[in-house]
Amino acid sequence: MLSKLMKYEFMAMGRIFLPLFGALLIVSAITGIFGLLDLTVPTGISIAVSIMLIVGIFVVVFILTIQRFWNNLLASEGYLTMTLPVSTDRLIISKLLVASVWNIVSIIVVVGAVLIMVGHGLPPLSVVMQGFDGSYFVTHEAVFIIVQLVIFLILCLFSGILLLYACMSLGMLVNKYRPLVSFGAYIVITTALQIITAITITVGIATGGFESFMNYAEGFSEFVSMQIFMWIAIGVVLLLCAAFYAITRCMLSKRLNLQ
Amino acid sequence: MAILNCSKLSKYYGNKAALNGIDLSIEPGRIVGLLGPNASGKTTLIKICAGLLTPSSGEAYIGGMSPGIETKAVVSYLPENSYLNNWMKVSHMLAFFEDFYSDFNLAKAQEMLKNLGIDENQSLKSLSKGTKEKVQLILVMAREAKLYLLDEPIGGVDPAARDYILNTIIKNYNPEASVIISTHLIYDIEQVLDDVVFIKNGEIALNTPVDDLRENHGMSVDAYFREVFRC
Repeated sequence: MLSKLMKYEFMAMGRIFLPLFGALLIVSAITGIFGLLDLTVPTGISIAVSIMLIVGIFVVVFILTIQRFWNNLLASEGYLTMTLPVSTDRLIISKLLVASVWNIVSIIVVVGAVLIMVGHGLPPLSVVMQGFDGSYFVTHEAVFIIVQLVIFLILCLFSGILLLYACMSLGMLVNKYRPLVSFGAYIVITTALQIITAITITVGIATGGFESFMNYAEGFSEFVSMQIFMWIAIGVVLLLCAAFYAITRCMLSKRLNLQ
Repeated sequence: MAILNCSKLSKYYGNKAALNGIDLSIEPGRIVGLLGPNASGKTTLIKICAGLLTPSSGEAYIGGMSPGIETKAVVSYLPENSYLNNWMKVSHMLAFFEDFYSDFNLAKAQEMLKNLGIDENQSLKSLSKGTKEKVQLILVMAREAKLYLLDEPIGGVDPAARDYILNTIIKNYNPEASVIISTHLIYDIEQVLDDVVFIKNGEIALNTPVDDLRENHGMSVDAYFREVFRC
């Protein structure tokens, strides 16, 4: 069932993203050609169009991430989605995974478009690679840290999306002004997290906890101390994901109140 | 065993009771009219049975199970408002139902669409409100479910289509399945009903076979409804 839910989710978002991605790649290719031909004015115009498309893509990613959850689960389409014989977990996970994929693909397409636009001005890849002496990047330790970093970034993306889901679900606590209440929940949660962070830092510095931790970490090799920091960071983000997921799940399964 | 069994079912919105300790049992093979004025609790009862609302207290059992994934697989629910994904075509919706409901009869849905002159390749966005309601009803009735919950199924469609829809409901008769129809348009549907349940201020005011009602009170369901709920 998860794959079926994801299929329709991909279709719903893809029909908007694919034309946008196509347009950006075509315009950036045209920009690249104008650049090669040294046509200043057309290059300027097509760069402006590309920038607008890039901004547009990121705005659409954000809006669609919200809209797919709101319309499909909490508004009129919810009458169908929430009566499908699938679990609430599958509904949330399918939305989360597909929205994450489109977020990541958008970044890849935008980076690709920028490379197409300015590609002719960059040195060839072989020259770029010569810049690295190869000693660090081939160690398995570096690979491990890169993988960890990728996991951390993906979890950050998950927590960002799940925060939006949690806030939208909390809007169901009221019968009127739901978007406003959802926005209010977002402000309250993000402010609370900032306050908790500030208190943790203050307490950590005041009690000397941070200093003794740093001293402790210094006792290890560079790799191990980096590992400790990365695992802590991953743990914190994972905790946020779990909290936002739990709020969303509880609201959808226990406090569902479609209008 | 009763297909639907509600025991002391209540739902409160704040201090206001939408349902107040309802006891109701529906046997298989019955077409039941759930009748009551606006805000009497009809939609709340249907939503609880469909798994869209959690009761404040009491229980609702469908085939012996509390509303959940298993009951959603055997309950075919038609809400009052449109739930169609506007970006889809009619054919996409057919595929969607086939993907998610193992009891969906595609051939039956296609036949009903054909009879009502609805093109499968039309996008839902381009359909009129009435046609969308017909599509939605076809999707719901083309399932071979155990319990059909129809919330105002004929409110937005023309009288000709109304007859077709009611005929579809009767033709769909299955001794294993029950249909609950909530509506204000009693006159139009009373011919198809086996039982009527009157609901007033969140409580059951009457639960009786239609034939008994006609015999005991000497009037139609519509006339009796007007008498009971006279303002």
